[in-house]
Amino acid sequence: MKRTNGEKAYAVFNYIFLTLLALITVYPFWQVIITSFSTAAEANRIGFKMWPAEISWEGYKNVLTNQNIWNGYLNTIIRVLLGTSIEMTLSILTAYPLSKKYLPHRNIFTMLIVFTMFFSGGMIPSYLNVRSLHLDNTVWALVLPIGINTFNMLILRNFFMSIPEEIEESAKIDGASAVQVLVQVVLPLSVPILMTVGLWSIVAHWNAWLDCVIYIRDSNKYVLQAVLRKIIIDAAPQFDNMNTTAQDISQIDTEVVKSATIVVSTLPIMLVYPFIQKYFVTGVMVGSLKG
Amino acid sequence: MKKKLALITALLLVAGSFAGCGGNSNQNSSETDSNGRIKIDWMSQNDSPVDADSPVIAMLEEKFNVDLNFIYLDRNQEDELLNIRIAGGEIPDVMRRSDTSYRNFINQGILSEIPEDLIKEIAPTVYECTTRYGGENLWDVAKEDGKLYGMPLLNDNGRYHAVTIWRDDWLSNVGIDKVPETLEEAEEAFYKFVNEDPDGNGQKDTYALSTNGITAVLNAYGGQPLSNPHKLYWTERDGEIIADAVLPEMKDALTKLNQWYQDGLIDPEFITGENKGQHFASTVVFWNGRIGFSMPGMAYHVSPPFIEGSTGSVNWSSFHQMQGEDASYTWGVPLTGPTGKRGADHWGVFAGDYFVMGKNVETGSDKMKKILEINETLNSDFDTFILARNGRKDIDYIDDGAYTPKIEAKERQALGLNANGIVYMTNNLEFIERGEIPAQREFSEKYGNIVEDYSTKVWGGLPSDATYKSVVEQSIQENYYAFITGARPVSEFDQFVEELYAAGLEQLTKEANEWYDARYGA
Repeated sequence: MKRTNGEKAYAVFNYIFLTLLALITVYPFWQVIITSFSTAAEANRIGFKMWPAEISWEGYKNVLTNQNIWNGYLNTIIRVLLGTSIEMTLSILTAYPLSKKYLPHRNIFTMLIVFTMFFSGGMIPSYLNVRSLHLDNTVWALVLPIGINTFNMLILRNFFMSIPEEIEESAKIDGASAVQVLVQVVLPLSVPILMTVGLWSIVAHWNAWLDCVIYIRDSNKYVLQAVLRKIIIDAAPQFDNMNTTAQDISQIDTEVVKSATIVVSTLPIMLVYPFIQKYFVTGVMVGSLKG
Repeated sequence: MKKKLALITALLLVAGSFAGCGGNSNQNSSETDSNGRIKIDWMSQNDSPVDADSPVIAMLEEKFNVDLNFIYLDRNQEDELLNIRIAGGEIPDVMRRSDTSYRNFINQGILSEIPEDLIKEIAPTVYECTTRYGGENLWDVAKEDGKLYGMPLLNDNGRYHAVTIWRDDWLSNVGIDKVPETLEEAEEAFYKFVNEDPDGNGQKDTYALSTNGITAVLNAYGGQPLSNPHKLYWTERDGEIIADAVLPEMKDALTKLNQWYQDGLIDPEFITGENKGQHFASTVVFWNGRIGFSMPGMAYHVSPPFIEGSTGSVNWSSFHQMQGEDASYTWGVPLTGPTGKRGADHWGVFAGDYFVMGKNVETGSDKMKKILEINETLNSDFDTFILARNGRKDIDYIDDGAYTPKIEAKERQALGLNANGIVYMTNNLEFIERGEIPAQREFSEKYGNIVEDYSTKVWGGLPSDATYKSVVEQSIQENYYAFITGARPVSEFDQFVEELYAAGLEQLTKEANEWYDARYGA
């Protein structure tokens, strides 16, 4: 197939335009990465940089020896694993029955659950609830209140509804119980959507900080994002009102430390993305089409 | 049957979702700990939590025979988190509140009244220092309907005004041997900074001033319309309170700044801030050798090292790290404007913060007396003051006269030290002075106490702040920047003033006048 000159010109401009767009999007990330490798003075140099003039590991040395970050990492990993397994288990166990047309009063149950998408208790009642259940200051306050994400559960339900009835019937004829049908037939067929919803849950748990700030009182139980946020926002020099004759860390170093902190704490979640992405696209598409 | 069951289940679920607003059963009423010491929930407002077994806190607990329980709330989320806690029935015994929040809490019945006579009786030093440094009528100003609910907190830094800095190596490179003192002299230097290659690199890559320099010029014309942290400051003019941003002199100032912008004196990137997103007093542009004049903050933001082994202020150390030891800057005076007046940003000793007690501390109770006693001791006994502020000698600080910390900021916060002056009340400003080396205080006096023309007349919260303040402040900043860059002609200044009044400044001005008359009125 031969392309006309007009089409060729269009393709060229299209590539140039999209490349520039990609560069503009990527550059801020790149800037953070090179700042994290820069010397303190270099990090504060104004202007466009593609490469640090001089590589320095000071930022990483500072971050990696910061006990709070490792603590935060541990707490976040616990939270992600616990939170995502709870959410997946509860969501599947809720979505599967709701996807069955023969479930009595299915619409009432669905409506009651959808109701919570539009009306929630609000911050103060939630706080009182968590407190009177004595969940505050434990990891359970971070995973149980959001044990089911209504939206994710509905997406799962829609996917389950799209699986042909006949497949399940054939399994039942072979003598499978309801649980066996779910675990051995339905779930293996639902891998794309499980991956998608699972990734959403992981990312949501990885990024969450507000609930931690509200419910957790001991700083050694802080999740990574709360630690990170403190480092970034409180990076203001500690010299107000204090005698100014000595500083713990000079102000220009804080830029390097901030960037290194961002890199260290976002790297794992960015590494997870490419591996799940292929499921991600199909999963979302399926959910939307059949919904 | 099945239908009924489902209905009941549904009703139960719905009922459950409304039940969250019920009674409140957690009464934390035990007033004393197992040793019989009075328990005090103290909201610290340091940047991180206090270690439960901090040895310094243990020493203070021993001294006062109390059990101090420090409450830490993320400072960027503080008001929200505090409201959640209070709604949940946990009211801290000791808090520090801004004027707006103070008045709200009084109206909501969250605070306990602290009788003035009780303060005079138990905390005479606090009472006397507050009057001495804060003004005769400060206690009356703090009252609501004739009753006192909080003690005004004073800030030593507020005694001083912002300090200007000049690149003196640039000045001598362009043949000026005296640091400019008036706007005219400054203008001459500014043009040379831009046109005569003061850094000697053969390129025209220098500017005279950026965001903070603009503030200094507006100050020279007699107002603080673009200052930190707020844009809404108030001046008294012929017995009326008027917002600095609409003073007629500001039109002249903007005309001049617009001219300078066109002539390339002002760094075109000033809109994104001279600090480039860092701490407000960090002038990154100045560190980069891009501008030759600035007014980044107070004296302690720009001071040199005073003792051996110290790095000096953040601006000093950062500037030298980036420009080398040969480059230099010096300190100037607030510029004298065309009317012959001069001034600089000035926060004032009292910024509207109060030391308050939650309603669980009953008026006149032993607990209230104990808290007042702690305040009194910290303001009258220098050794206890230093213990609470700097920690233990040779362990937490070096005995060099400047109480130089031996430990990192993080550790200081964990110890619960009064590092940023926000854990305990420090109204005895003389103690702060005694805690410094004399050279440091002399420096502040020399450069930060030259004039006292511009401190805002209205420092309290106004009833309509929540409705209008942010809109008005944003409009001031946007339009001032537009006038300077020429995006909006300065001839439209009068129109801008009308717009500003219509956008809510009219109501705010009315309230500011009422506020001022009620407290300082003739």
